[in-house]
Amino acid sequence: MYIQSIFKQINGSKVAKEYRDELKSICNLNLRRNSKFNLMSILGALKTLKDVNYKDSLSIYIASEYGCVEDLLKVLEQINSEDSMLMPFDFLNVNTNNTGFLVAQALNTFGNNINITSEDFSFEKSFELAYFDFNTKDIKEILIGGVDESLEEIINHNSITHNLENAISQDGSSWLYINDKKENSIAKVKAFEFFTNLEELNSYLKVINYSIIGLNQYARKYQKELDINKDLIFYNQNNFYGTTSAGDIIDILNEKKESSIYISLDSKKRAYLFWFEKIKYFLES
Amino acid sequence: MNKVYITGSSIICALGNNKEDSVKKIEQINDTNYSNYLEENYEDIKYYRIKKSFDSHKEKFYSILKEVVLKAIEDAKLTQEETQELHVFLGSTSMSISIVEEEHLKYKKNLSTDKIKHIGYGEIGNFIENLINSKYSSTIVQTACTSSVNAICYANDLIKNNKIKRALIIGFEFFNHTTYRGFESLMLLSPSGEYKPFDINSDGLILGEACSAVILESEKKDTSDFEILSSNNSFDSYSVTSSNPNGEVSLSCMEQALNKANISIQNLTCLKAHATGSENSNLSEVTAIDKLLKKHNQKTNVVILKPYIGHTLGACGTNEIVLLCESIKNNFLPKTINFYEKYNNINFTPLLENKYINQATILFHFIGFGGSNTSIILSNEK
Repeated sequence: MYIQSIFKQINGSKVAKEYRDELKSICNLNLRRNSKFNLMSILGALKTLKDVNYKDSLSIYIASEYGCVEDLLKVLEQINSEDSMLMPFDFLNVNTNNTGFLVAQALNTFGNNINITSEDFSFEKSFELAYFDFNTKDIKEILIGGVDESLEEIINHNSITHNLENAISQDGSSWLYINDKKENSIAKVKAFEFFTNLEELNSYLKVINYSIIGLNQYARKYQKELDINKDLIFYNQNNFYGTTSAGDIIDILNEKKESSIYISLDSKKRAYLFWFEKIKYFLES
Repeated sequence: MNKVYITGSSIICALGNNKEDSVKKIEQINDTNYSNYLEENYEDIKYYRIKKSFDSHKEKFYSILKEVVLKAIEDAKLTQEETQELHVFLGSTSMSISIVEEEHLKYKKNLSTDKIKHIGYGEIGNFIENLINSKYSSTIVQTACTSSVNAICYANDLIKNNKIKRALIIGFEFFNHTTYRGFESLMLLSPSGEYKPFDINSDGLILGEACSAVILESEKKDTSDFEILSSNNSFDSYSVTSSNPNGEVSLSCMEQALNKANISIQNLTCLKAHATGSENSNLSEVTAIDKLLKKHNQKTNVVILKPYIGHTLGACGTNEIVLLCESIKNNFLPKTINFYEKYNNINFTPLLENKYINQATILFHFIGFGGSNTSIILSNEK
């Protein structure tokens, strides 16, 4: 399982029109009434595969912690106002499961697509399904994205989401394109594991080698309990958004290190571990 | 490869507050008393309601989820240790939007200072994990009307490949204004209020609410437990809201499921169609089934369940699987109600009288917005 292309776009909150304008030059679809969430997803997917010769059987996995937020607020206003009608496109926009269809349409692919969410582990759960499909089925081309809108417009967002470090919530669309070809790849996915507790994770950490460690917000919170060399911790760029892990992983893959791990924990101290071996770095050096 | 069986299940839907009552009701409903049944269901709008009262949408949502989950675990006779080993999978279209709407309305009426109190749906999984003390984090699948059946397919694959031991899959859909008015805005709802999918005079679909759960394990608990023989997903890129009228994607999806199970149509007791009732989807699926039967020159019973419980969207996978499997365990294959006239140039007619059997091999087909097609084959034949 080799990562061939990565793309990360994390920025402060933008209005949908800005993403729509950016898409105009690279996408022929009529996206006039589409949600900001859909636009961010399509933009990220297209940019990831801009120089990639992918097959139309590509499978698409989209992770989102919050789903379509901006348009949900719009729909709630329509629903709870006596003088307002719910418009078809607004309804379709809040059905996050339609995003995969639009991404597939923009990429002109016919493989399956799926949207996954899971508290604090949305990207990890999507990766888990993609990893399983790759290793057990005839699915050898995968596009996985973590897409979430900024929550800055929602005043109480920190009290209803998990933002442990009180970071500024941003728009984010981060993607990995994976296939089974080593040639020209960025990194190999050496392992991807789930642990029900930190004891299991720490036992695993003792027997693997790595030169850089990425941590999600709960892993940073509980880092004293992790059996890791603290000097190897990579402090990511300011990536905070719903599916931050996707952006963080892209950061560590961009580092010139032989092998890297990324540890995601949730509030119950369950863990996912990604283990990557850099390929392109060695070819270049 | 492990075998995978449905060892426990439960449901709360318009038919009844448990699977025993629901199955009894299916057997009782016929074309003569169908309009009375609909009158019992329809309150202010044409919608199949769960017959339980609660003080709030939030209380309704979590009370019903809890009841359904605990009953499915009891049905599967899981020990406390086995329950904690359950991997949780959820499938829904509208998730907890009924609660989000309710909280927003309080804000509009100045009864709350927060416009929104929930962002994202991960907490639904967290609720179930805490309820059963599961060791594992839950996975929520969002593929529109195929959400809960796709959750079953994923869990089935994981058990087959020995990645997990057992799974709890929950499909849920509760009344909310966003979905109802959304379908209304798309002009997909039946103005007549008569649900008759696959009938040429069908004038749309009727939504319903329901919640159901199934337990999957690699060992049978009872001789009548259904085994999952195969499943298949296909993507129809024709339109976000409707299937390609040529039916080719649905046809291919069903054929691939049959191939994977290494069986042919003549081995099937029935084909449970998705049968939404909307014009485009009806035409596409009717065409696909007709092509399948004609291509293989074989016949099977075609069963339609939505007129009994309404279209329960992302939950229809678990709901219709539970209802059909339980009907067969109770010795009958349910008739299609309210069907009078088939499409032109279509040879098959849905099953119109209950058939008395106690074992079956069933091809279930489901279709969702966003082009998702899923076929799954279950059998409890000896």
